Amino acid sequence: MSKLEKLSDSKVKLEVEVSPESFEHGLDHAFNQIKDDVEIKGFRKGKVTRKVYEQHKGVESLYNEAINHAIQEAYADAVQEYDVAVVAQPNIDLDVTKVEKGKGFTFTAEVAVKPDVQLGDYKGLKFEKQAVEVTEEEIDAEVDKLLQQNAELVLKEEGTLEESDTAIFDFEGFVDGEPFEGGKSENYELKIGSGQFIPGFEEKMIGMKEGEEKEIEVSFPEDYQAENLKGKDATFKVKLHEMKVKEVPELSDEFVKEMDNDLETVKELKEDAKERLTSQKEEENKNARVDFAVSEATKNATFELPLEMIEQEQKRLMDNVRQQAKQYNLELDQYLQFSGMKKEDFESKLMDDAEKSVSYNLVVEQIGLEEGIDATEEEITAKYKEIADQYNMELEQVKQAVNPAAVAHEVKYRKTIDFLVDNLDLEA
Amino acid sequence: MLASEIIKHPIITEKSMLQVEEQNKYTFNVDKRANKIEIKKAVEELFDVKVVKVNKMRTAPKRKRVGQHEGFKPVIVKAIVQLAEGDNIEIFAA
Repeated sequence: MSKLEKLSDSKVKLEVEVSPESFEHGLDHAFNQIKDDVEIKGFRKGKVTRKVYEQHKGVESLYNEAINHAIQEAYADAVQEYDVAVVAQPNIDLDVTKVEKGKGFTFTAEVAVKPDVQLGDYKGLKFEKQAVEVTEEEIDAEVDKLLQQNAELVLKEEGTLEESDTAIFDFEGFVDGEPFEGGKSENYELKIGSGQFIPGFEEKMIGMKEGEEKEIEVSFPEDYQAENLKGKDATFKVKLHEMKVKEVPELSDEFVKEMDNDLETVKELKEDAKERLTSQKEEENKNARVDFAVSEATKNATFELPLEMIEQEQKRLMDNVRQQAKQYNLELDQYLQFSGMKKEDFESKLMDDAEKSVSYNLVVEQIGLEEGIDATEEEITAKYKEIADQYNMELEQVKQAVNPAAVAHEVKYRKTIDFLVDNLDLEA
Repeated sequence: MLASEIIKHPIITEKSMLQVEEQNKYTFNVDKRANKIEIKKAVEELFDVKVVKVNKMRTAPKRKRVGQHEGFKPVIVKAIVQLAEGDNIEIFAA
């Protein structure tokens, strides 16, 4: 029989006995697994009986697999028997030398379990309400953004190249009189002042005329990415073909009509912008409230978070990122390089995120439990519908693919959060 | 001849194991000079069982060549021994 011992809030030790029968069963299982690959003289491959096999290779050769199998079964039974909420892989300890055919054995398993959560205050938390207000400036900025987006590049036929114009030109660069790799291009489009080229280059192009040729002398900065060009002086032969200037459309009723079929006048456009900004801010406000409610409730609760839970979550998050990277056809390391993150930073950040999300989850779950929040059949069905719509799948398909317990959990989680937010003490 | 000289070793193959299981018949490699009666006595003495019947057979001499030298694979004599009901022989462990 097995025994349960509580080591700490989040760790238990199970002492489990494996009966001779279940060990025998394990041996059977182990033999069946390797049977097809055993070759013994006088027998076709896969036709060896277990007795003959044991005479030839010794029953000990089956122990490893058999023990694993037997432990797995016994462990699962024990977990069920004591109803422990296991959150990680168990740490199994077993004296292998004591294992013998025809006898059972005992092993101990230390495993992290879901910790007991002692909730603190979570109702009536004081939250400073932020007024949802949209200022004139914000509206203007929004409208301006729209104008900028609809700006067109127009050919500039007269005058000289100026800052923020776009130049279309050929160039060829030389270092010490020699052309270098990547230093040549034709019909290159460059916005002056965008800082795409090495410092000094763009400034020196200002003032050029259409069709003009010029030699520009610049030096590569010391921290340039190409080793062989760092700090070198270079001469660029430049020929300017065209200049383009950005033309921002004027804000008028005509522009509005062209932009949006539903809107007629500038005034309407502004109102529309205001509406959008307001709902955006409300959304932010709501998110802030949810965030506050959950993080505050978590802060007030006491529990001991097992490291294994965090690590598991971190691994899950990491896999998510890896998936994302895959969509760009990148390995994780490359992806990190592109997003300019160091691996260690990234890992510790994920660790923090993981800890947060795990503790939030625990606390919300506990609150849900204590408040008796449960998901009804209709709510679960509604959630299934939502998922089905989201992925454009048939309802029945979704029901098969997604575990109802997970959906119920999700619904419960949402409801609990709503409950928390509703119970915030909003200060005006 | 001694019993241990007559019975050389058991023959353990798929086929022989099947016979053990289904018919309680055990197969041995025996000395080619031994006759059925001697084999019966030897098995009874060595394994402390009751033998009901013995069938004896020679394997065919197979041609074998090693380089330019030609010869035959050794002929072995097999004896299939039917034991009385309830008896068994440990080394076959079936």
